[in-house]
Amino acid sequence: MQAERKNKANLKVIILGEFNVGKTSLIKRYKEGKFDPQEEPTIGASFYLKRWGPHNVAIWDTAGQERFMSLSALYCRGTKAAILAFDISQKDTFNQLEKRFLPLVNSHTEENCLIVIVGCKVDAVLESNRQVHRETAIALARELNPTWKPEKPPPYYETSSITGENVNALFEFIFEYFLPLSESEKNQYNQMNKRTKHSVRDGTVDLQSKSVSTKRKCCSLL
Amino acid sequence: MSIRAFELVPAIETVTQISPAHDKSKSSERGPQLQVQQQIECIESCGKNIFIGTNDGYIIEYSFDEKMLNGRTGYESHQTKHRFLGQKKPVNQLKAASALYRLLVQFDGSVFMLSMFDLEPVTTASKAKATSFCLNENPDSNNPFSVQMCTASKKKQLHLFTVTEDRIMHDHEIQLPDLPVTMAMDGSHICIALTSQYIVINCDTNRLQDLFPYDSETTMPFVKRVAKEEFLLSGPSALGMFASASGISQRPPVHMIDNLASICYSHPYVLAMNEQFITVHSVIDQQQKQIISFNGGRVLGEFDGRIFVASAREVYGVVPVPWEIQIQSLLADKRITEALDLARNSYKTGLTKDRFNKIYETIQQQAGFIEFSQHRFSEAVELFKSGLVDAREVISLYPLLMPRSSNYTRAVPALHDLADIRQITHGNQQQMSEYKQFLADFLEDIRETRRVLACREEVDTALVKLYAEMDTDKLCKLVQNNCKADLSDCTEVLQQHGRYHALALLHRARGDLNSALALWTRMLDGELEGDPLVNIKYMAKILTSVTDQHLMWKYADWLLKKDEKLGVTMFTCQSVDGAELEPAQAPAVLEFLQRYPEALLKYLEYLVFSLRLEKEKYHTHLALLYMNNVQNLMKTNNTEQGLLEDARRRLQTMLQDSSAYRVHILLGKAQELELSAECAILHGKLEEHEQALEILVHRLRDYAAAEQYCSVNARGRSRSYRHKLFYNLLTAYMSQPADGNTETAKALMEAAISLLNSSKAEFDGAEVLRLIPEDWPISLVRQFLVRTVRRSQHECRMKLVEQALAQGARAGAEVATASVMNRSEIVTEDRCCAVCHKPFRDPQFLRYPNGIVSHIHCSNHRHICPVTGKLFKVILPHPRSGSPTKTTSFQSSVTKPQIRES
Repeated sequence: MQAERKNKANLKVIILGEFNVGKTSLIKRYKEGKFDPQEEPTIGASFYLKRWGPHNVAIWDTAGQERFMSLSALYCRGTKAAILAFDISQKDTFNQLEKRFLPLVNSHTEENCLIVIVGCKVDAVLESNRQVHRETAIALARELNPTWKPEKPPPYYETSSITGENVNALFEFIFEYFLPLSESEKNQYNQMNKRTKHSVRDGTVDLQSKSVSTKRKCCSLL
Repeated sequence: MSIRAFELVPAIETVTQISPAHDKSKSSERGPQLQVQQQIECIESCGKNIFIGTNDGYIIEYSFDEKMLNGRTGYESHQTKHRFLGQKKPVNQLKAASALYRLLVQFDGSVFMLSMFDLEPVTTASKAKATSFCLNENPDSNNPFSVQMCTASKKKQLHLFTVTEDRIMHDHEIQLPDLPVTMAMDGSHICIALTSQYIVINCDTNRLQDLFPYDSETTMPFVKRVAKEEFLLSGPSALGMFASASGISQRPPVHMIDNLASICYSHPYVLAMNEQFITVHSVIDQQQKQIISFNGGRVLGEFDGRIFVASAREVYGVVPVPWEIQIQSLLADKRITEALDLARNSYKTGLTKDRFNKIYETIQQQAGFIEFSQHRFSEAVELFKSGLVDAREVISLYPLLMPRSSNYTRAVPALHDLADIRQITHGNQQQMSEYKQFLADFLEDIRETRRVLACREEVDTALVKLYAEMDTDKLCKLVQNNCKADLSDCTEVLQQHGRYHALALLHRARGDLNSALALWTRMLDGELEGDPLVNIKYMAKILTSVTDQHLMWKYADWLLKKDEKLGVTMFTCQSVDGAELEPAQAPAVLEFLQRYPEALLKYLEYLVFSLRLEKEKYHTHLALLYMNNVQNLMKTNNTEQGLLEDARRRLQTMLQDSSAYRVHILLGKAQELELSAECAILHGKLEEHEQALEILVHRLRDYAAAEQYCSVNARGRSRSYRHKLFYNLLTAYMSQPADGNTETAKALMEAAISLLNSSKAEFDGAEVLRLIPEDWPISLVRQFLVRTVRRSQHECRMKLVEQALAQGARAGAEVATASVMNRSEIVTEDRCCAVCHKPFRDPQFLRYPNGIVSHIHCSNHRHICPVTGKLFKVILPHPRSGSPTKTTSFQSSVTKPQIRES
């Protein structure tokens, strides 16, 4: 970790959101390919480094608890991309985004910061019992990124850290947006990813997550 | 994941005994009942001195010595000076400006300066009103004899001072939004804890950067400089926050203990202290690494690289445990991964790369032995290999594997505390064999690496012994593959396990063929336990490669006695590459083999058929041997007919195929033995075809053989020879049998007719016609006649075609010549020679068919163009004549010039 640290990160991504919406799980799912149902609450903040082709991407995970809110400003500075995460099954977590986290993002991050809205725990809801509608979230995503071209898919993802749905797609979308990779670099990245994932899962292939990583489902409705 | 990263070492035992003299005077002044409990309020260390500020207005100086005892740091200190500041108020802050030899003291609401020599106040310098102060730890100024100081007062402002040896000069002040509590300064940045938030101010530009707010009721603010423009702050929930001057956090926070009393930073650890404990946190992985129990801690600080902690009365040094020791203790706990991780991370701490690698290797080796002792072989192998372990160190763990000659002693200091594998396995046979298998695999793996060169003998010896015991076929491969094993040691083991074949191979690999062969012969003679691989053939193969003549003859005798047929292979299977060459020792071998007829025959066959030597001596010898064979078989009549026929067929084939033998010797012998068929072949060899055919036709009456004979002998001969040969046969058929038997005569005639009509035979028709008796009806020889006429007609027509073709070719050539010869070339005055580029002076010149015109003397060759080098001479096959080629040349023409007047 220390050796990795030496390389200056080319991109800083921060993830913000209410307590217990699954921010840490989301990152761990992406970085390690596994889900820990007993994830400890993050204290303060934690930091992950991910290689993206020749680049280093720093992902900062923040604590959602109210008492750490004051610290978030420190971590928001210098951020080019912010992930605002909420729990699809809890309406309140979505409302809090605008109330608590948006001011943070607006006042501390870099100019033209990409704001990606992420609805977590999509595996836990059905269309019938979800509390935040896709359209509402998409509307917010478009509103927060006023320069976003309407023909492009909105920066909104619904993810599940349990199944891995859309997790890779989300991060790859952000990285690709800032640091586009050449074809060969991408292949390399995919291979590396595959290797680490497989080693973690003892050689079994998670069909579901694989299908997700190849297809971007989130905007299929539009 | 705890590590002993630091340990407490007493530095100053008890501060109560500091100034008995003074205490006495105090007690005499105020009476014993009024004696105040003296406590440490703040400390500062500079060089070899520790300054202590007490709660009752004393500054006491101790000097200490750092001593290394058993690899551990210890402090010895004694009090040197002290000063009473005049009021029994606490000394809040002490800072040394070592370059100025001054001590800055915050006492009684102001900051002033003391000399370090005698702790006397510097009277030339004014006091500054301040509640707290800090020095710039990374000053911008170039003057080493001045210090930047920043003070906080009871107003919402900071004051900046420049402190020199004798002055404290006010530079400017900075307005703040709130009252300052504590601060740290780095360059032009000051990080300040206000009453409810942290900020950073740039004192040059006065730009204010908010960091984060804190709750002053639950959080005690701390500001420590960590690195350039980076500060460690205490945040909510006892978080240690890192913040840079630009308001960004570049490291994740560390979670410290509650009720913080003090914090300090010493890379890569953050130390935090409360009433009961000092905790150590790594900034690498944000984990708590160590808890040191320490009651009543009041001050914790890092001073010039040393960390001191003070309780009310004592001062302790917090000494970092050298990382080697940390690793050793991890290894002692068998926490290998952590030890290796720590080792890798400690590389930063100022070691050269080489030295670090050395240490790291040792650690890997130690770790390897731990894995080894716990049966985790694959991990052990990895560690042994990457730690470049000395193979002998591993071998020495196995009893009886080291060669006796080896004087290897285990590494000092010991890499492990293992006696041998018997100790590890507690004598469990199953485990023992697993360990042995491990060693075998490991040694096999590293055997070829360059590192092992120095201890190759030990490695190979150990391997030989292991394989001998394990009974694997790798043993034989090993001993032949550049094995450096100790011979005497291995001999014993191999004999003990009955691996004589391997022993012999080892001898051979060492160049001691004599011992090797002796062993093998003993194995084959049944004296020693044999090996399925070792048989006569194998021995022959071995002997083939023997270059020592003496040895070869010695064992050749033994081998031939054992088995002639196989034994002879030692002579015959050699030198496959130089097969065409006659073996130099062939005469000697033949001489030697006289006693072994069967072997001799085989050897001659080898010389004649396999090597295809065309030496008369061998061929004759072989033919004679074949003939003797036949003779012997004929003598003993009771032998099977098949055997005799077989022998004769072999003789005949040999006589027919070979032509290197001396025919007359064999012919004489064949006639003597009345071997008619052989005689016929021999006559044929002498080109005495009449005699041969005579024998075949009249004596053997084997007409098929006679015709076969003709076609064999006719092969590749000229037409007239072929005619003559078949004519001879016909004559033989036509001549009357000697006994006048009509049956035979009839058979002969039939044979003659069928020969005439057969398509295989070739005759000169005219001659044959003369031979055919008058009384034969035409119908008998019709076929022959028709074919003869047809053939001669065909030949005649072919000739005509050839003639016409040749004429055509000739005409074409003539036309070409004529057209070349008739071309004219006009040479004017300005025309130059293509070779020398000079004008033509002579009336004669050369012109080549490609238009190149040159002087005659400029051309070297009539047929080769001097400019392009083209050859104007074509070699054409001539259709008519028997000679294969005829040259047609397009000669360059020598032309009379036609000089045209211009």
